[in-house]
Amino acid sequence: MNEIGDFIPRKRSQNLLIVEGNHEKNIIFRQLFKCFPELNIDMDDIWIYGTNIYVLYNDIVKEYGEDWNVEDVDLPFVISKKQYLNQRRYKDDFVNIILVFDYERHDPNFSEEKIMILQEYFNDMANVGQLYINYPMIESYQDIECIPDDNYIDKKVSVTINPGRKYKALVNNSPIKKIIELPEKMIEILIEKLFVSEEDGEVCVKELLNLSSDESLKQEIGKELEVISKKNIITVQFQFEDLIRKLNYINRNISYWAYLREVFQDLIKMNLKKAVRIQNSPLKNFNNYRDLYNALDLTDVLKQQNSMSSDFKNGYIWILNTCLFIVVDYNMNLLINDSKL
Amino acid sequence: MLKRFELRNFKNFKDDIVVDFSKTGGYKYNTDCITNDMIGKMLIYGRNATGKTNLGKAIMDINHEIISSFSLYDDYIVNADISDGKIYYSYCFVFDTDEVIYNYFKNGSGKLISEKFLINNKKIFECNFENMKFDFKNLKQIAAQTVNSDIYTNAYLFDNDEQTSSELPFLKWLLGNAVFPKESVMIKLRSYIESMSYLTVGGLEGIVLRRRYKRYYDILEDRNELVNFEKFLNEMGVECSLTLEKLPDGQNELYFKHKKPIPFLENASSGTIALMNLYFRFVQKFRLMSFIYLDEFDAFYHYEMADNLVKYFKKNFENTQIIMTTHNTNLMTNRLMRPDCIFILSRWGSLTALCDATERELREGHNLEKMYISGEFEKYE
Repeated sequence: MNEIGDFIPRKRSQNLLIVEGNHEKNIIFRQLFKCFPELNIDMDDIWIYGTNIYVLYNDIVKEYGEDWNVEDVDLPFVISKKQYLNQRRYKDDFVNIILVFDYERHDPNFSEEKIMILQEYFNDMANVGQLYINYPMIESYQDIECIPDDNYIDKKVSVTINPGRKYKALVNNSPIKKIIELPEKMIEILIEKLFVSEEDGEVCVKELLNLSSDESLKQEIGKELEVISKKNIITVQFQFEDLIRKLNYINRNISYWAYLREVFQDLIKMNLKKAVRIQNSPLKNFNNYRDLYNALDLTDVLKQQNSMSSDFKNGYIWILNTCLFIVVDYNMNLLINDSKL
Repeated sequence: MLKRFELRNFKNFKDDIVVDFSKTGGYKYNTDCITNDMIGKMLIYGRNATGKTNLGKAIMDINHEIISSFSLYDDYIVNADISDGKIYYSYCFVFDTDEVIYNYFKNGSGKLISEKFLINNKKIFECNFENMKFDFKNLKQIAAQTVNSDIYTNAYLFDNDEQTSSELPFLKWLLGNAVFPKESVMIKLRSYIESMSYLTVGGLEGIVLRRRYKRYYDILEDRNELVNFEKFLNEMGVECSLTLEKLPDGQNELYFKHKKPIPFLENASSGTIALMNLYFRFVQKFRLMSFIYLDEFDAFYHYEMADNLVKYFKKNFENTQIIMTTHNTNLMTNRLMRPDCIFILSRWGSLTALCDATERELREGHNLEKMYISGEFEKYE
């Protein structure tokens, strides 16, 4: 029903993140957007839509027909039409549309052809949207032994390993996991040991992770804890100090966020090298990361991955995380200048 | 070439507004937007009433001061929120290796308060009309041997009657009275300022000045000129053929060629009339324009015609610095322009190139129009 006079002012500069249904995975985006404020994407002010890549494919076909990829596909429109009864949202109000999906070779709907059409079409996050496929799944960014990891470039996984629990178990001891999950872990401890609310915990941890002085770390932790709890904080204080010191950043007098930014930068570099290697370009041909980035071609990566993994018995998938490329797709200088937070 | 223009306190521009032609972004495509490392073709966007027209008039001020003494504005020109109403204009030109800077202040009614002239950062002269202080020590630097600045100052100090305008800028007097060597930077400066032009394409439409068109028709009496004009219209997408007839009273009249000729002026569309004005102001004479400010240049044009026109300018006015203001976002594209040549004039009077209006690295593949519409540059609008 169209109600005249019910004028809703247009809201521009919105962001849309289309991901697999599973929301626990979104922690990486929260951290990524926090570490790169230049992207201007606030995780709390973003439209997150959970779906499956083939469901999305069908939704697009339903709206635009089989030849949809010659049309000007408006994803916010397609999704809002499906999600809401009478609210429509349009591409023209979105500055970034980001699609992140797992490779899902084992999905019964898997189609080399469809996934390729999607990868070719969604190639600009500032316009129609950018598709990032992670191989074999988003956790691939954790699949390293150390930072940086020279072995990562050759790392692959057998097609026989289903993504999901099995692969996740493989990366369970990753050093990245410990780093990226630190805020969650600290909040959990606060809730469990000091019985604070989740909200208070979040505020406190945000402050704690901004700490950057090696010398006064312990006292500062104590001060922050005393703000939210009247209980005995000494055990938690020690525990937090230990957790932070183990990550080896406070000894350089930088904050957790500055450190995580560096970690992301290293991960992006490793994955850039890896992607170009998957494309069969010899790394020695490149002088710098910008050249490497310019050679990056996600459809070529997908083509190679499809061909490597087509044999269901002996085939393999190169480990690769592409969703981190959001940062370099936005601005390559974010990789080079590592300004402190 | 004009390298930089700075303005303060003019009309709606309370703060400094700077047009910096030298700030290029190093893009490797559409290099025809760049002339001698400076922005040669510039598009300015902005919401209504942000001052696109005012900016053009302000840049043209030097032309009126030094050459024509005819002013585009005669009402309040100073910012209405500033108590001490002094408007500051600063022009920086580059001619080969020489940099020329000319700064001056005017009061609210447009009277010159002071002026200062520098070449390669060396002061050549300075005049202050408030306290009647004049500094002409370095005039010899510009090889102005023949100039006797006493004649100028005497006019001020002793001849203070109505006949001498206290607003005569020394630069104007100098350019008109001194003899400079042929290769002098002063000759280049004069010729640049002389060949600056301003045109509101939209504004001209509607006022059918028969006299103006009679002049155009006289030019078209030359058969070649008629063919050229017809060719220009066709190139811009107006498919037509023209014929010029002499009426019994000896006047020329232009017609669209048909079995029964149709009078041009009465029947041409607003867009065609606008094109005609543009043609006779710039194209037909092919004057070597140094600078053109085209305000709302495509207000009456179909988007394809606007596109054609920009291409036409790039091809035929290679060395002319052209600023075009427009609301046509279809031109906001990397097919035609580049992010360092497209500007947004904000509501608070700042001028920002697209490449400086976002943290995102703007690349050739980006759809700039869509980004603009979706709010990518919102903070600078």
